[in-house]
Amino acid sequence: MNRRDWLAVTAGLALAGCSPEQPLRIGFIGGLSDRGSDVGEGGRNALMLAVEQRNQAGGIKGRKIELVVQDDGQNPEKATTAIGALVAARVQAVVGPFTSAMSAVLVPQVNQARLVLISPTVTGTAFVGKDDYFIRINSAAAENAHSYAQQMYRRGQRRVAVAYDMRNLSYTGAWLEAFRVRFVALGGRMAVEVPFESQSDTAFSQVMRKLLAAKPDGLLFIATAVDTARLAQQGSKMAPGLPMGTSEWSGSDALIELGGSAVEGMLVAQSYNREDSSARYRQFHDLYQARFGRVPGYSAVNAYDAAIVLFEAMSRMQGSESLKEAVLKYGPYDGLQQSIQFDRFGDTPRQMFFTEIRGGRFVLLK
Amino acid sequence: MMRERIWPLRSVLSALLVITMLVTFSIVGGVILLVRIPQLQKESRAEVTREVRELTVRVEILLGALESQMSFLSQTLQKSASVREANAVLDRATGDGHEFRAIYLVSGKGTVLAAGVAPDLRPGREDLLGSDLSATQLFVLARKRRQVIWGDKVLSALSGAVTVGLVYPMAGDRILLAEVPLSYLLSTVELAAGQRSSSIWLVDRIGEIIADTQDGRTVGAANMQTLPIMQAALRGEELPRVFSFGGRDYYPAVARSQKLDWYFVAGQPAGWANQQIRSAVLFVVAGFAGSLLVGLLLATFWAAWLARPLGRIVKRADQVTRGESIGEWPRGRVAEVNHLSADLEKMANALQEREQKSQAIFNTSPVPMAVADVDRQFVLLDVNEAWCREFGRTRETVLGRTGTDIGLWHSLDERQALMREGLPDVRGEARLVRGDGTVFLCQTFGRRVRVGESRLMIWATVDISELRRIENELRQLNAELEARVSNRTQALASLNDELTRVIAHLRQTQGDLVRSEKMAALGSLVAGVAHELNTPLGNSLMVATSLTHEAHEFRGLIQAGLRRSDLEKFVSGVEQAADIATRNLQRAAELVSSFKQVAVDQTSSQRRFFELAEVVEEMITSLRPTLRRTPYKIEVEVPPAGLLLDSYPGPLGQTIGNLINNAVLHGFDGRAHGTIRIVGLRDQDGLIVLRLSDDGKGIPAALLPRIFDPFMTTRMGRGGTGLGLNIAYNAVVNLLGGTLTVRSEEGLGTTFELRLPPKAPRISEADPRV
Repeated sequence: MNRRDWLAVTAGLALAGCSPEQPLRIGFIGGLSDRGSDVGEGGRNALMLAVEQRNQAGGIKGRKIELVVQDDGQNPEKATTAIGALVAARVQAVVGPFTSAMSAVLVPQVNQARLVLISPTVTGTAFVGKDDYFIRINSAAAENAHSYAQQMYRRGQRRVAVAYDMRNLSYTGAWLEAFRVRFVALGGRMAVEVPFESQSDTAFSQVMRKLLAAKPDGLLFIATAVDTARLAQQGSKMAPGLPMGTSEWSGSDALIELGGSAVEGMLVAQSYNREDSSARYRQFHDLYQARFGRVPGYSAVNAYDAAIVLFEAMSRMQGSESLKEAVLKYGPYDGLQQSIQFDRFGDTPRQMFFTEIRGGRFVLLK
Repeated sequence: MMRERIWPLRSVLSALLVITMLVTFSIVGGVILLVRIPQLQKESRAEVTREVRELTVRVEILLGALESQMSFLSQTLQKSASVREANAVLDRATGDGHEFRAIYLVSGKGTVLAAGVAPDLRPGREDLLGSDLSATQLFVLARKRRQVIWGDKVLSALSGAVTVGLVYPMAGDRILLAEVPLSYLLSTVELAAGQRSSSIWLVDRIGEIIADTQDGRTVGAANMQTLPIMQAALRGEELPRVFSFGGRDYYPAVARSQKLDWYFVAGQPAGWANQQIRSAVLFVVAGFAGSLLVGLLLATFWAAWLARPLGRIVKRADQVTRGESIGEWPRGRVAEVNHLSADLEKMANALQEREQKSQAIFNTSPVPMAVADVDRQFVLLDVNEAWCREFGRTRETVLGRTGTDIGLWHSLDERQALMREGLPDVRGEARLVRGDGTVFLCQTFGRRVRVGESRLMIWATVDISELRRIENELRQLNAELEARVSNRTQALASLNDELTRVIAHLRQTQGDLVRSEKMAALGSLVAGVAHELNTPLGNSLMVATSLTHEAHEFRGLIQAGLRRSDLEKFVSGVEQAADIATRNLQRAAELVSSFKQVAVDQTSSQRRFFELAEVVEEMITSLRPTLRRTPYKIEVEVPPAGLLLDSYPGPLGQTIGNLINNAVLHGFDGRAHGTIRIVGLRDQDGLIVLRLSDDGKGIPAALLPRIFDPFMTTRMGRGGTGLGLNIAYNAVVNLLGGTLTVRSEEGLGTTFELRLPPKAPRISEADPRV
């Protein structure tokens, strides 16, 4: 045996010690530590579930998937650090974020890094119709707002007072703008539009007083679930019985939990059908509940859809194709409840389901 | 095949020492690691299990203080009547918001009756009062259980921040609900953990991390419920040996706090991340590197020290090889090296002596010899003294030059022819030129030899001019001799022809003689037969004639008158005549019969099986009438059986008859008595011997060698043919395949002896010799 043989043997032993395939990394970014953490947590849980299921089914092209979770804290600086960490971890794509405010921070960064960022929930109009690395599962805010305007007008509301969260203005602003245009067009009037800063010491009673001062016949909140619940608590104290609605952003279970009886009768749209009885959805629903002790919310359903899109595109991706090209090319994807087909900008329409909170539950409006 | 690389001794020794050291350390280190790492892993697992249990107890104690506070608060609030008072009590309990961010007094329906909040959140208190918390999970649980409950991670109804709830049921259906900030739990866990090496995560009922020992970095980042370790803990199964979390591996331990209904998950870094394992491995690696370093330094020095004397020996050996004179052979401090040096010294001396010897032999040789280099156009490398003498040249003028250069060859064609001869030996004749220009003929011998790397041709030359001259003379002499021999041979050949002719003539003469002898024998036989038959036939004729005469006389008487007496006389005469005629004719008939018998046996050469005694008896019987008239006797001593022959009885009988006749005619000639003795026996060789001896006068010695010759007779002119013994001899030797010898002494008798093979050789029936 000469020296070359020894080297070969040593190298062989060294290689044998390594696993044949490194896992594929998928990033997650979302709010996990602030008042929006119910949405982030739901998305994270659904993504964890999707990754687990995919790995059990053999992964993607034989490679396992590894999830890297980062908290954006709903804070631009923290989000920048978080996305930097994901880029450094060489993730294939990132699922998130869950708010337009964070998207505004992250999109330029992923474009620079050529990293696909696929948001389950963001609807901000600012991101619609752009050929970038940002792909959205949810429909555009403007469309949602139009639906809301029609729905509220149909429910007989003509003077609507709106409170909106300044901290996610890229969403709330666009949403409000679209709502206003459509509602006024329908013949309604905007009684008052009250911006507020969502903070721990925000005095929601004062916000409510401003809203009620305009004598509206309906209240509309464009805010997180927590803030909507807190506003509703004030509303039910100061003007019991006044119809309330809230944008789809707050449509999580935290709204009911924190709102209690104050949110009864509230109109809220969902990006998915909570009462879907299809076997596929029930299976997902039951599995999620068994695993995480909660029912899946809209962020969970949408994040699961995002995972379906991502894994499908990654498994069908050919040689020199970029992941972004693959995502846009291999649609439509068979989402949990809806078929997902992207246009060339990575946008897709999504059906809205209006619900009303009754007896501590979201009840689908027929 | 790859050519092996040659290494200097120093490198080999260095490598040997270093490899030995490294292999030793690798084995020792490997064994240390193999034994120590599992021990460390076991220790780490035990450590993490112990730590998580301790921590659980400590956290329970620390958080128990909050419960006590709630208990105290509950009692205080029983006494407070107004909301304002209650708010004040609760505010005091909340303090600076470090332990509690807020404490709510909640009605049985979930409405906030009073609230104490941290100073920075007080503006929001008014909002809270009257809020409905009935839907919160914690409230639902509290209503159900009516006991102290630590909740899961939830969003604060007051601030929206992530907090942990603590409910304390009061008398009646009211409930105290406190929001404990994660920061407090974090600091509590860190306090309880102290300087522990394990990472610890505090996990709520639904798997969310609510505190950790990593500054809360993992809070919210994952739901631990999905980890195999949590699944195993929830099901009460044995934990996996290692679990991965946040990209790192840990040896796990899980403890559930009954009181808090939370899980404490702890992990000691596994594998390389484990401090102790890393230290152990680093220790071994450092040892390895250290021994490599020390080994390299020591081995280099040591190898150089060992190799130095060998290097000097190699240098000396090189000098010896180049033929340079050298001084002392080096000696060092290693016994084997000194031995080697001494042995090499002896060898070098022996080599030099051998070379001197070879040179002496080379120069002493009377044959001129030269050594040439085959690879350099046969340049002369050495010549001996005989060569210098023979060629009249000096070494200095020829060495380093070729034979052609110095004009050694009379003809280059001869050189070419010589070189074309087969390898490795060259042998031939060539004319060479001496230094003074004289040319002489040489027998040249060349042999190619390989000495080390070089191919040499060794030449030896012998002057054969003189030899050639003598050879020519010899050749001439030889030619003359051959001519003389040829002449003599011719003369002899003509003489021989003449002799051959004479012999042929003699043979013809002999044949004529034999024929005339046979005619003479026949004549004698016919005369004998005539003589024997003459008397009876004459008598018979005479009787017949006289009877005819008497018959004529009788007729006359008849006519004259016959008388009785005349008739009686006539009848008596007839009777007498008839009697005489009958006797004589009987005699003749007997004789003819006897001749016929002898003739038949003598000519019959039929072969058959017979006993010797039969033939002897037959012969004697046939001779007996003749012998009866003589005084001689025959004694026969032949056994009647046991001497069986497969042979020719006729010739054998004739031989016996001839020998008996010979004895009677010659041996007993002129004697009044004589005895013939016939003896038959078998000798030791299996041959049958028949001996006939007489006590006659014997045969003179001068005649003895010739008695079997034809025509040899002492009775020439007296009826002897001289062929009897010759015929007997021929029959015995030629037909019966035996021998016939004779012994005789004058006056004492003669003995003939036949030695016959029991089986005669087969010969043709028509063999003319018989």
